[in-house]
Amino acid sequence: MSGLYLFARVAGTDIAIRTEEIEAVVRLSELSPVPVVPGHVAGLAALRSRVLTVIDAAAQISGTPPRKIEAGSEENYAVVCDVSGHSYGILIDRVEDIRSVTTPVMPICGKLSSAWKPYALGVVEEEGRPYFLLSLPIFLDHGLHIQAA
Amino acid sequence: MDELLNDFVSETQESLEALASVVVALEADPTDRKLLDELFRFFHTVKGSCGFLNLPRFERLSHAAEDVLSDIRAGEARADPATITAVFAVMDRIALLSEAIITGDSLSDLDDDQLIQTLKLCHKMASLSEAQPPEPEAPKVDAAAQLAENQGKAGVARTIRLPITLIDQLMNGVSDMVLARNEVARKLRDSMPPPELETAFERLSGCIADMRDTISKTRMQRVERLFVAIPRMVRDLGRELGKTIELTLDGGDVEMDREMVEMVVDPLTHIIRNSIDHGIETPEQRRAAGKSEAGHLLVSARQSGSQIVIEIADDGRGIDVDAVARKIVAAGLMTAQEVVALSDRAKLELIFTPGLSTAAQVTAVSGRGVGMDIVRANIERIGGVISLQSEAGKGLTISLRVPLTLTIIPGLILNAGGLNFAIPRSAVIEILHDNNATVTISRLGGGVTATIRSTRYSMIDLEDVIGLPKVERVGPRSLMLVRSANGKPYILGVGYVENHEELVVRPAAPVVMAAGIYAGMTLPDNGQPMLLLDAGGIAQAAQLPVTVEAVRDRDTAEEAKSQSETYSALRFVELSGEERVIRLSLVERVEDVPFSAFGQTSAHAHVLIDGRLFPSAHKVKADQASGANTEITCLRLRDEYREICYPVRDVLDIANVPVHLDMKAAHGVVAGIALIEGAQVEVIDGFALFASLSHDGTPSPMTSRCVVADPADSWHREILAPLLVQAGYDVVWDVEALPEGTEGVVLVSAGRDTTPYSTGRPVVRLRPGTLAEGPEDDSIYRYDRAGLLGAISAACDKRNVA
Repeated sequence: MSGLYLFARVAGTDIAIRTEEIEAVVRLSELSPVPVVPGHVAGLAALRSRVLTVIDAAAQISGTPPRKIEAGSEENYAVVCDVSGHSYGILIDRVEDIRSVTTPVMPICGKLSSAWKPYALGVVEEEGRPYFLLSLPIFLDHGLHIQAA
Repeated sequence: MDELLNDFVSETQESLEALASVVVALEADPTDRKLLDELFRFFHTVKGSCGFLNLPRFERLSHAAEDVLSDIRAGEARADPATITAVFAVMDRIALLSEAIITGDSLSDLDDDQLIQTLKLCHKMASLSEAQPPEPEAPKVDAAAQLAENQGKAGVARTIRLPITLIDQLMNGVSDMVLARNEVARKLRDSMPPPELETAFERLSGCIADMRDTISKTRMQRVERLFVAIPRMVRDLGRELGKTIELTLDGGDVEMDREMVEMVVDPLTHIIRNSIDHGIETPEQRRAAGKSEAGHLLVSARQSGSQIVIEIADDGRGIDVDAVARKIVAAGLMTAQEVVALSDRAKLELIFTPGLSTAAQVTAVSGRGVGMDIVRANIERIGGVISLQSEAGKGLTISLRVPLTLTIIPGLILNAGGLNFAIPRSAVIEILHDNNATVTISRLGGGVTATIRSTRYSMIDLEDVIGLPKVERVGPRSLMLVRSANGKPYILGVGYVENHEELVVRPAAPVVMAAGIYAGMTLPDNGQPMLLLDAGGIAQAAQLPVTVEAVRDRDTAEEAKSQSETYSALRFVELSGEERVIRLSLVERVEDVPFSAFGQTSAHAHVLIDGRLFPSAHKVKADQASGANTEITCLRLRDEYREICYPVRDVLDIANVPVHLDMKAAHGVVAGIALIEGAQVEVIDGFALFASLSHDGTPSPMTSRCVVADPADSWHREILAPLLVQAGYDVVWDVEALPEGTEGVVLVSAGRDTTPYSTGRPVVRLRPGTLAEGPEDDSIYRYDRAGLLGAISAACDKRNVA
């Protein structure tokens, strides 16, 4: 399958997300914390009149404590998406590029670490570099199950 | 083609919805030409469109219905109930098929044939019976006709179809504008703008506010939409249950938020079903109760401030409060005493008790209560309030008060652990400071209880729920009395309450909702996202006790006034089956006693409890022991000295019994009859009960000595002495053994010399004959038990006085 992909970095790993799943990439400045939820829920953020539920992707994948987001900090990029009627902002390390890829998605080779196993759907290769293909709905759905467990 | 098909389906579905009331009205008045035309037109349109779209099944169905209707229109047949039902069936099938087109399901077409056959058969019967005089008409369903008329009028206004998403986008856009305006306003305030700029901004601000209002209106829908399905439902249910119901619908033109309409549909349907199923009686029962045969059901809507009030009133049998209370007691949710302590209003509200609904029997007994807790939960979830007014035998009115719109609710913003949260205003009953004099907070084994004006509530600090430390600050903390899901209020302690704001609420993401304590999220005017708390969820998360505590609510204060004329009495069922009451203060406790502990002598029954024998008020037969455990429920009664065991079949509850009996009818242990909530109940006479028992074991006021002067005489030894011992006297056999000067009543046979004993002691003489020998003879017949004991006691008294 070919198309436009967003290439980014999450928890030190290169990933690719189909642009159809993404609404925007924004820089978040201030979060309202949400108590009594799993650690990967970083908080709520206002995006114009919408409220985003912000998920710290690195925290969800590797279980590390979530990032602190302070007012005025610059480097907090979040991928904004709408999944089943709710708006989410997914915090990523950084955005690299948006580019079109013509080669099909390739199956994963080698043994994945258990942290990544549930998320990586395949590999997208761009200029000779491999990127894990993530699907945001699946990613968010899995985040719910972490809580249930 | 697809677009055409979709249009056809949505148009058909809409017409079907609108037509439901037309058909019901038609059944009530089959001669109404206008209604007939309307129905006919529907089938005609469907037939026309589906020929074009190539939908043969629609065509066959609508064609058959059209044929029948055209005959009715031509006056060749009547619209009898059977035919109308058949037409309904065809309409339902068309609705199903429309659905199937959207979902792509397939439906067997065998049923189509059956439907058409049925319709034709009904039609034929109706045509044949045409010659006969018409039957008395079914009660008129005015509401349906009225509704149909209203809809006709409404159709005149020009409308367009818009996808909901477009309206939502518009709404979001306006919300953005409002937020942007607020920000500009803040900036302007800081920078001291020139007056003309301020004026211009004011105008812009006003325009934005107007626009927000207008856009909000696009979300409004006439309550009529809620009402359209009711006539049909009432008709179908009424037929199914053999009840005649006159339905009146009122206020269909009131408008409320579209989402709100969706949320109210289910509770409303549930309440109406309950009304018809359990509230309204069958025609026979109604006739017997002196009511008109047809039950009345009124569903009305009106706007009251920023709320919509929907009322469902029936003139059925009302809620049997006592039956509900009994069920509550039986289910172990409250004790009889607690239930009695409740005011009438609180008792009525017991039908909302969760857990009550699961007992299937409740419907049979109480008439209501199935799922009412769910109805209430649903109404409260959207910030509404449900209230009841029931009059036994006269009917029930249920009022639903719901906010006009779901998305904008009045809320309170509060702060706990340094974070702001919102809570719907409707969930909060009262706010107090913890230094208020009417509040006492006590901690017991980790649990916190707050007592406000002598009512006890569970208390929980919000910081503990959300796991944040309490922020030290000057000033008292705030206590909010909030409603929980089970209707039992509790106290939520928070840092402080910030302010009151109209909040635009949206659903929170599933991962947030899963925490269980949030109801949604909101973006207040300051632009900082906030979570909306779910009061019921917090109570659950904090595992506050669910059992309903005997809260002496304010209403009971009114009842207290009438307490002086009544007393609390325990209501029970005798072993023999009668219902009686006994003064509660006499009952020390209620105990289950094994049947084997009961014994009886020829005249009296007794029971062995903890190694002691107690008199029993009744004899107990083996078959009266309850169930397999062969235990008998006993009331342990007590006067100052004695204890009686009163075996009963069952303890019912506690009732308030008037001090003055409604009818005096003293007989045995019964003093008379009292009316308790309309039932005649026999009242136990405590005096008679204790008086009827033998004197065994009664300690006499002071132990006195009796001197039996003839120890050698066997009558004295074997009959008199035991009687005296029984009566509580010390018996001394030999007067010589008595030290000089000690007291004692001397008992001696008449005619015997009393000199050895007459050292100042009183003497009671006994004679064997019944008749006294003369006026001077003060001796007593020796089998005159009462006379004998009386004389001894009198002699003792004389002695004491001396």
